[in-house]
Amino acid sequence: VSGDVSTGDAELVQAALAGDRDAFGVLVERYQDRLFNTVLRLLGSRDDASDVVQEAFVQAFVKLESFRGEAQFYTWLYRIALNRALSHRRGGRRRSRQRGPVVSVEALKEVVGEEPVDRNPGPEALLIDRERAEAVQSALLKLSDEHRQILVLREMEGCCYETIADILQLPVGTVRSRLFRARLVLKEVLRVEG
Amino acid sequence: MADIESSESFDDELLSAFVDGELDVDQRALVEERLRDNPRAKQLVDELRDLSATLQALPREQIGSELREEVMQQIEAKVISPLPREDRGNGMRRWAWAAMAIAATLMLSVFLPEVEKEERELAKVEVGAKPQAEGGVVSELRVPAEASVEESSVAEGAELHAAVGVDENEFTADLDVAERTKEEFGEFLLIHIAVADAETGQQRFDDLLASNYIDLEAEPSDTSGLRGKAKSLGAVASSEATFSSSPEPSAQAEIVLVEASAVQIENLLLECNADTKNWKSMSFETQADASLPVPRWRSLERKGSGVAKPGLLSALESTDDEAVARASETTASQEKKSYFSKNKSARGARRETTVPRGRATRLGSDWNQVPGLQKAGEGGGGVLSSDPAAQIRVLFVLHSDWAPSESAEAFSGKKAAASK
Repeated sequence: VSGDVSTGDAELVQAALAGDRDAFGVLVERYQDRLFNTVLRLLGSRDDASDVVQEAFVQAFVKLESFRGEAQFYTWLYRIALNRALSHRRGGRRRSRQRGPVVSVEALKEVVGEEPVDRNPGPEALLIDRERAEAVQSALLKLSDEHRQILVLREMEGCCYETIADILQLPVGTVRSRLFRARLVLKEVLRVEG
Repeated sequence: MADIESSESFDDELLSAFVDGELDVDQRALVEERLRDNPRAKQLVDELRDLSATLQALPREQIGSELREEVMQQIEAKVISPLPREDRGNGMRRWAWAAMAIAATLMLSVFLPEVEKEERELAKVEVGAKPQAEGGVVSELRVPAEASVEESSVAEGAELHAAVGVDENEFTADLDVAERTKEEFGEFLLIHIAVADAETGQQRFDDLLASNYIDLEAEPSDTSGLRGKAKSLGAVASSEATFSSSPEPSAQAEIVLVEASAVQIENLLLECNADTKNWKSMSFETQADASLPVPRWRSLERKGSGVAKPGLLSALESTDDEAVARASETTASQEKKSYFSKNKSARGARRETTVPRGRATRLGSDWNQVPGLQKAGEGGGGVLSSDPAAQIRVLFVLHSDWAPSESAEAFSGKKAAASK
C-alpha cells in the first residue's frame, strides 16, 4: 500500500492500523504542508507551527484506532491539529510572560520572507508584499481563536462550509454567521491598523 | 467603515456567503437583487472579496522534508516505549480499571427506578476495553446500560455478573477492591457530560483529550494482576439486565478517568462549555463550590435541560467500609445480590433529580478533596499560575441517549405503577 500517491486515505489508515507505518508516513507527507500553512496562520510562528503539526501527526497515529472512518481523515486530522494549536496558543500566552511575545518580528519576517511554494496557487493568489503580509498576519492574531480558525480554514485551506462544519463540529449555519462576523472584525482591525 | 447596513429583512450574512459561493439559487437571486438596489451592500461585497483575496495571497510555505522522518521516529519511540514522555506526567491510567468498574456499577445502580424492595433487578454491566496493540492503551470503560423497566424482567434471583471486556470473560469478584480503590486512587472530581450523540461524542472527547496532550497510558505489564482486580469486581458489579427506566433501552455511559494538570482540564472544560453541539450539558458533582479545584470552573458548568445526574458520588458512598465489610462477609451470592438490590431500591427515588449538595458531606473526607487543589490554590495568583502542573483527577461520565425528560416521565410513571 505504502508510497502510492493514488492510494486513498482510508486505505492508508487501514494499512497503518494493520502495522504498516510507512502507510502513515504517506499520510504525513500528503498533508504536512497544507496543515503547516494552516497552523502557521493560526500561530504566526514557524517553529510553533512546526511543533504543533508534528505533535498532531503523532497524536493522530496514537489515536488512529479511534478514527472511525465516518469523516474524512483530513478533517479528523485537522480537528486534532486545531485543538492542539489552541492549546499551544493558550500555553504560549502563559509562557510568553517569561519568554517574550509569542509572535516575534523575526518570526513574521521569516514567515513572509521566503518565496511562495504553493504548487497550485489559485488564480488570484498573488503574493502580497512583505509589509502587507505582516500586517495581515498580525491582524489575524488579534482575532479571537474562533474567528481566526474559521477564517484560516476558509481562506487558507479553501474549505467549503460543510467541511468547516465537520472540522469544527458546528452546524453549517453557525459556520456561515461566524465567518461573516470574523470578516467584519478582521476588516475593522485592518482598517484601524492601516 | 463600520457602516454595515442591516435593513429589516435582509441578512448581511448572505453577502458573505455569496462571496463564498455558498448560497442556493433562491438566496443568490435575493442577494443579486439586493446588490442592484443597494450600493452599500455592493460595497460590502467588494470589501469582503478584497479581504478574501488578501488572505488567500498570504505566502505559503513548506514545513521541511524532515517532518515525516521526525514524526516516524516519534511514533517508533512510542511504540517501543509506549510510556508517556517524562515531561508530561499525565494520562489516563489503565490501573483505574478497578475503580472505574466499581464506579460504573454503582452509578448504574443509582439509575434504577424505585421498585419494591423484595424485587431483584437484573442489570448487566459490560465493561468493555479495547486492547490496543500499540501506541498506548485506552483506559476507558464503555458501559452499555441497557434499560427497560418491564416488570417481567425484574426477575427473582438476578444473577450479578460483569463482563470485563478484554476477552469477554466473566469474572467473579470480591468486595474489598472497593476499599483498595479508594486507597490507591484517591479522590477525583466527577463531571457529567451529556453528549448529543454517543459515537461522535466519544470520538470528540477522545480528540479533546488528544489535543490537550492527555496521553493514553500503556497497560502495565502486570496484566494478570489487573485482571485479577477486574475479576474481583465482577461479582460486585453485576446485575444482569435492564434497568433504565428510559423507554429507549439504549442509555449509555462512558466513563473516562483523566489525570492531568489543571490547565489541561480547564481546556477540556472550556471546549465542552463552548461546543453546545456536541455537549448538551456539563455539570459537576461536588458538594460545594469550594470543592472545585479551580473555583472559576463553576462558571463553565452548563446545565442542560434537566439532565439526570446519576449520583455517582452517592453511589460510591455506599461503598463505605461498613457496607464493604458486610458484603465481604457474606459468602452466599444471594446475600450479595440482595445487598445491591437494596442499594438500588434505596437510591432509585433520587434518580431523576440532581444530587443534593449536602449529601456529599456524608462521604468520607477523602472523597471531598481533589489532590493538588489546596496546594495549587495557595499561591495568590490562582491555581493555574501557581502550580499549573498540579495533577488533578477527573472522572468524566459521558451520558448519551439520555433523554432526561422522557426518562423522568417514564420513571415517575413506573414509580407510580410500582407503588400500586
